[in-house]
Amino acid sequence: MNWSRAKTMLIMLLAAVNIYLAFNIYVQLHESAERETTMASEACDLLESRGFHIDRAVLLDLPETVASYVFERNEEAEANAAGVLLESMEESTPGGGIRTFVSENGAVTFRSGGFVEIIYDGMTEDQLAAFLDPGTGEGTGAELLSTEDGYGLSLNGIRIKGAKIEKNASGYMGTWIFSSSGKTDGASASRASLILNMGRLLGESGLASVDDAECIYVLSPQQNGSLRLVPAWQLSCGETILLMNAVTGELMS
Amino acid sequence: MREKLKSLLLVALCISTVVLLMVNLSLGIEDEQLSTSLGFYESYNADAQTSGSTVRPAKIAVGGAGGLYLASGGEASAMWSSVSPILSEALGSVTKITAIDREEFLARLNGYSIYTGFTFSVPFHMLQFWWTGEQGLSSVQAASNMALVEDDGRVSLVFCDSDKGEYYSADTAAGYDRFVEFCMSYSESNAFFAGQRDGYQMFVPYEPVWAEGAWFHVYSVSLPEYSEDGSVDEKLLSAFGFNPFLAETYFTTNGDIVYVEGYKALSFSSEGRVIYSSNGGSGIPIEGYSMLSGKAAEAHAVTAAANVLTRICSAASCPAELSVAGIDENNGKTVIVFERIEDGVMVTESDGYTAVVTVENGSITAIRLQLGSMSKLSESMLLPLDLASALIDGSGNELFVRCRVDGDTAVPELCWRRGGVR
Repeated sequence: MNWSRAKTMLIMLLAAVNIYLAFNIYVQLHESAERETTMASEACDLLESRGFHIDRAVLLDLPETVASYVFERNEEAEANAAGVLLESMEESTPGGGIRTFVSENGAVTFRSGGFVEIIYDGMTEDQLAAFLDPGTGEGTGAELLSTEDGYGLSLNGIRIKGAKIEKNASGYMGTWIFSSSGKTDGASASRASLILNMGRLLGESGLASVDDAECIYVLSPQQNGSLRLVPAWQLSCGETILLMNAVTGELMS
Repeated sequence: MREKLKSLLLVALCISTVVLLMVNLSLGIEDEQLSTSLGFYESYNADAQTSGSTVRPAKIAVGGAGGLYLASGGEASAMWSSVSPILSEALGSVTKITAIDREEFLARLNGYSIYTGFTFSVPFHMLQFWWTGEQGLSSVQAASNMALVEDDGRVSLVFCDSDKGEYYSADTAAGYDRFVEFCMSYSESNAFFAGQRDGYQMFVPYEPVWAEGAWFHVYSVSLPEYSEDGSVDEKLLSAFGFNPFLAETYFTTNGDIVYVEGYKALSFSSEGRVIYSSNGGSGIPIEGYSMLSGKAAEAHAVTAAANVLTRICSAASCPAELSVAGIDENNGKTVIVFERIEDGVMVTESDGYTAVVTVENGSITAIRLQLGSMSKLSESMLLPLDLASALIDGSGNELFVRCRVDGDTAVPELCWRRGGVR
């Protein structure tokens, strides 16, 4: 058999298989997105039929699926962040997960549960942003947010409640994620289940309408030093603001 | 040249076929899981982690800007989540423990504080190991009640062993700013220490008492469901180290299922009671036990036992949070008792503790465990303490709220301890 002809036939065969597989992926993704949107829309219908007034566009603008993440404490990322501010720094570890880096410029203390204290005279905004930049690592969807009081953090475009660095009398302090990689812990929720849980919660709270709904992550420090990001709904109902665990549907505050 | 291009195209097509095939196989699962499967985010294995809370306090209170705030109902879990990193860094950074008298202990509780109370006097070095993973300095003290308090711009730890009537203080390197910021966030008061008001002399003076009635959840209790033919899930058997294909199965006259493999036996009752025993065999080995000795080995064994129980409960689809309720060492055997916690409240099973585990020579040789799932049913208000205190006589009592399982419900009730939980 002619080897060149065999190669041509193989190329044609593989090209056909590739086209089929690519088409299959497109169809599955399209159907999945359509199915999810239909389910979310039906969940909205159900809520409206029960007398709840909710802006459908707000709900359908939310991410289709959210999952919770765990970020384990990363000593290397902490040392790298401290190194951005401090030169010729010395490290001390008095126990209890406390790490202090000291140099002539100032001091940075990392504590259990992602808490950090920075004492540094004359720190510029650029220096602080560079210190916080390692965040959750490149390419993971983490983004630095500038707020009125300092800095916040978002993951995959979702704001992380509890991750904030603010100015105090001696410098800056707050809770931050200094970890190079997060891990999903298997807990996730679809947009449709979020909407249904929200309806149940509104019913229990005696509220009938939602002015605004925001999907956020709530940063929850764990006793072993890691940080858990729990997906949650922040619902504005007039002057009442409810925070609901998106995975369990339980009221958080 | 043309043949070389063909060969390159062939290789490229082969690679793209494999990639597309993998993506096709990965589809059908959620987007987040897809990113996991592509290595963007790894999956977090909770079982591989050491139990962060081998022992949990039965009472948590914060001395804030408005006075003392004692957690009730579902608040205890949320409050625990907030205070545990602060407590953990304080315990891990204790430098020197000094004995103090009772008056000084009580005086230090005034002002900003984070207070915790346990159902038994927990050996201090074990508490340090369980909450920080670090070996402590002391092996003689124990803590039944403990508080982080402000101390001239620093955070100190004070604790007492109510069984022995001993009081201690220790310096810590816990963050003062974080501690004060946390305490200041509690601007309301709902409780007071018994010693701060007249009429509560039946309690120890450091007992936090609700000023008004407190609300707690009532739960429905459901038992684990086994398959129709009475057999137990392979995953659950594997959690006990049983091989489902080698174990012999027996049924008792009262409907219990018993598995026997070598020197090991495992029985499941329809009421959710599980009994495991290993005679003459090695039991369930505790990893890393042989590398430790003395108190460190004992503390590690308790954490390992807690992790084994957590895995078993998950395998039985009855996830439960467990806390150590007592440790007894006798003739080379360590018997550890665990109780279940639901929303921060300790649960009393119909026949006592949720689990009793025996450890011998670095292996778990016996387990008695009560399986079950609890779900919130309603809320119930406890009798206000000014009324309940009339029912309690004597002095030096400590108060606890526990959920008592009775049939298919678990109801909160006030209990008091006078040398043992009553």
